[in-house]
Amino acid sequence: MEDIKLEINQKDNWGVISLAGRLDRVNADEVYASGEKEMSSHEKLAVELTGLEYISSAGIRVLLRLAKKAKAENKSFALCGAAGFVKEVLEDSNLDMLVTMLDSASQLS
Amino acid sequence: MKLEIKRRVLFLMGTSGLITSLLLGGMICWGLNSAEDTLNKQSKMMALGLSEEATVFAEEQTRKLMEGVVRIKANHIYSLLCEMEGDVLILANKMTEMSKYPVDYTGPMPKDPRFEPVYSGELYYLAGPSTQGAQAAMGRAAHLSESLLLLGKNTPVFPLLFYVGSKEGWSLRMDFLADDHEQINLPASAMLPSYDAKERTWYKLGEKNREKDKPVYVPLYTSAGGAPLLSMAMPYEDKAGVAGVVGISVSSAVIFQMLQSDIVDENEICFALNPQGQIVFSSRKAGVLAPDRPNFDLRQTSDEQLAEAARLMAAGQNGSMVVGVDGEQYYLVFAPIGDRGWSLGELVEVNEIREPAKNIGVVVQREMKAIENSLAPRFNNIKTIALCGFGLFLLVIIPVGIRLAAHFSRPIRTLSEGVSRITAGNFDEKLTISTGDETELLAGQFNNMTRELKQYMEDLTKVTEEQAKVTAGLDIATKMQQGLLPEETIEASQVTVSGSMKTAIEVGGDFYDYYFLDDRHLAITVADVSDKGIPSAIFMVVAKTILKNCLSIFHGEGLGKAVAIANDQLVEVNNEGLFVTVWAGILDLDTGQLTYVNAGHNPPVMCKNGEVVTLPKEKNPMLGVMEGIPFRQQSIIMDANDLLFLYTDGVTEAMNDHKEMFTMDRMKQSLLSMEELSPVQCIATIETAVEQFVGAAPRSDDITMVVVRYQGKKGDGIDKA
Repeated sequence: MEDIKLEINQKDNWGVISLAGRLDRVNADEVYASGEKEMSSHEKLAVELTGLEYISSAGIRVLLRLAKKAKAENKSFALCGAAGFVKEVLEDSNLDMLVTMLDSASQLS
Repeated sequence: MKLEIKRRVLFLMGTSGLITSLLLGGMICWGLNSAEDTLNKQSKMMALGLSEEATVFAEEQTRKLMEGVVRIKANHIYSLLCEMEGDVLILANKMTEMSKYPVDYTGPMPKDPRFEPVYSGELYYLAGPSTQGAQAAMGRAAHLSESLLLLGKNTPVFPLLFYVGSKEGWSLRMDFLADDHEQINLPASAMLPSYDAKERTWYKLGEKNREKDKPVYVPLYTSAGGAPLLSMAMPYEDKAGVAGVVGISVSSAVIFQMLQSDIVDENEICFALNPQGQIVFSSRKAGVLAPDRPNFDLRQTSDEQLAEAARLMAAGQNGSMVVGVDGEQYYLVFAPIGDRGWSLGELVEVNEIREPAKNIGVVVQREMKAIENSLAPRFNNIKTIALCGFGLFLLVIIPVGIRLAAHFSRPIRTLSEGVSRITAGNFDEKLTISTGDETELLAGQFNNMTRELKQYMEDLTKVTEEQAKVTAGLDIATKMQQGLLPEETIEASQVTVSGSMKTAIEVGGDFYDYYFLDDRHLAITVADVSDKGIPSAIFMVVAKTILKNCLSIFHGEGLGKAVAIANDQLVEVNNEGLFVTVWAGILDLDTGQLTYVNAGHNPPVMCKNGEVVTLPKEKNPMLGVMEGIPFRQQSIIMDANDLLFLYTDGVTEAMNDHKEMFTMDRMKQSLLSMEELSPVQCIATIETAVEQFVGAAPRSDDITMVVVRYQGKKGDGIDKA
């Protein structure tokens, strides 16, 4: 399994985690830990998925867990830039009904 | 890896070959060069040696030759001097006879230069302090005139002076000049009474001479006439004893002239030395060897070699040595002239002797050079041959080296490749190397090791799997999960349903279910719980139970409502943040109407009239995430013989080694030709297709499929049957 690449940036008051590669069980915990950490220092957390090539159900679960955590802590959470297969999977599972999804990180506000 | 064995062997062979050839080549070249060198040195040495030898030889020969020549010359001079001695002896005897036995003289009287001119060959007298009485004796001595004329004629050198000096003081003289008619020119002092014969140097020396038959040689002195003369003198007697002295004088030039005409070359340098170190005559007119210098003693000259030679000569020795004369190097050969104390010396320029000898050296060198030149091409030939041989050797050794290196390394490479394959997991790989050496032995041992390793791995895998499953309780979970699925296919008159779930190694979250809600309603669900492991497995069990309950109880209120209630219940129990995608459908067997809710699940496909269509999908969230959400239901009519194919993403996302997915397109393609197949056969076909596509790649997700074939409405079914 290929590794995931995590890049952490800041846009306005959003903490942005950019993911690239594969998001699955192998790195799910790593991504969750990173998201938790960002959430502790930001009011708003976005996960940028442009570079993501594959997402498994474990990957979706991580995103959902982060979304739930944000909701519990009354913080903003958004996914942005999903494309290709990842976009298909997310749409298939209708995740957009549960989580804010944006076409690109530039739409963050 | 630093160096391959092949390259190492090649390197070793190349290096050793190169070193060997370099050594051999170097030795040959060194040998040739040193031979050439030796020849060169030898020829130079030979030339030098021969040249030196020749010089010494030439010098020796020249010396011997010259010594002989000089001795002959000295003897010749001696014979001249002997003649003069003889003249003096005759003269002395004559005077003694006349003095002892006086005879009256009647001939012409000697001339008196005081009163008349005297010419060459005429007897004259110088009275000196003598008295008249003494003159009588002188008158008798005039008998001498004839003898003197005779002697003078016999000795054809000029000037030649004969003289007699008596104890009374008078002298008689006869001078021979070159011209008979030349007048004798005397100094005025000779005509004075004070000119006493007894006071003359020659008189004093002659008077002392006690030898009866030999005159004494008078050292050079300046005569009354001014010219330095060589003289010899001896006494004569009367009855009372010594009565006077007779003598002969010549100039040094005269003797040299006599020599020159007989035995001396114009170019030769020769000189004679008397016991007093005076040069009595010489071929040199000037310089250290110039003659006619009464006050010069050659033994005292500044050139030490010449002075030493002069001492030896004055001492009457034979010999030869190198001397400096007027700044030039000469070879001096000397020999005594008779036993009178005189010595003759002859000089040759050193170069004249050495030049021919040097020429010998030059000739030898030239000859040796010629030999060398004739040998040089041979040396070059040998060198060229050696070089060609060296090149040939390299040409041979390189391909041979490459082949040998390849030969040596081939089994090792085979071994290495085999090992690589084994390392990659292919434990069935057997190494076959038959080199008959250590490599083969190694291969054999490696094969044994592989076999043992394989066995060990197999044992270990089994043990580990078992143990892991037991420890984690996974096998229970898996069994539990499998046990929850419908065990048998439904084969009713109007519908046939079959399901299959192939789990991944870990316990997964897929499940499917089908059951009759009542006589005409068949419920079918396919679900996929996110993630894997125990929490997912438990959530799966919970979800399956809740769904079955809700569908059973609330389906009368609509499928959407039933799913929404199930969702709310699932959210309540979901503490792990899990979710489940669900496709739930209810088929009305009587009408063929299929009502369904798709909660984030992959859309099922239907084979209808030879086409594969995807079921439309309403937007619904997955279950277990958010409470109180409505779920929209849809419906579609199934016709007789339509085939509904339900699946999880384990099918479409099954991955091969190249990370390619099976995809929905491939799945649909595989479903195209299934009109006549039963659901069980359909599932088997798709499974085979997926397995072929995935190949050896490990299965990462559960593969779950449910196939429903609808036989048609009641009437249709009967018709068909």
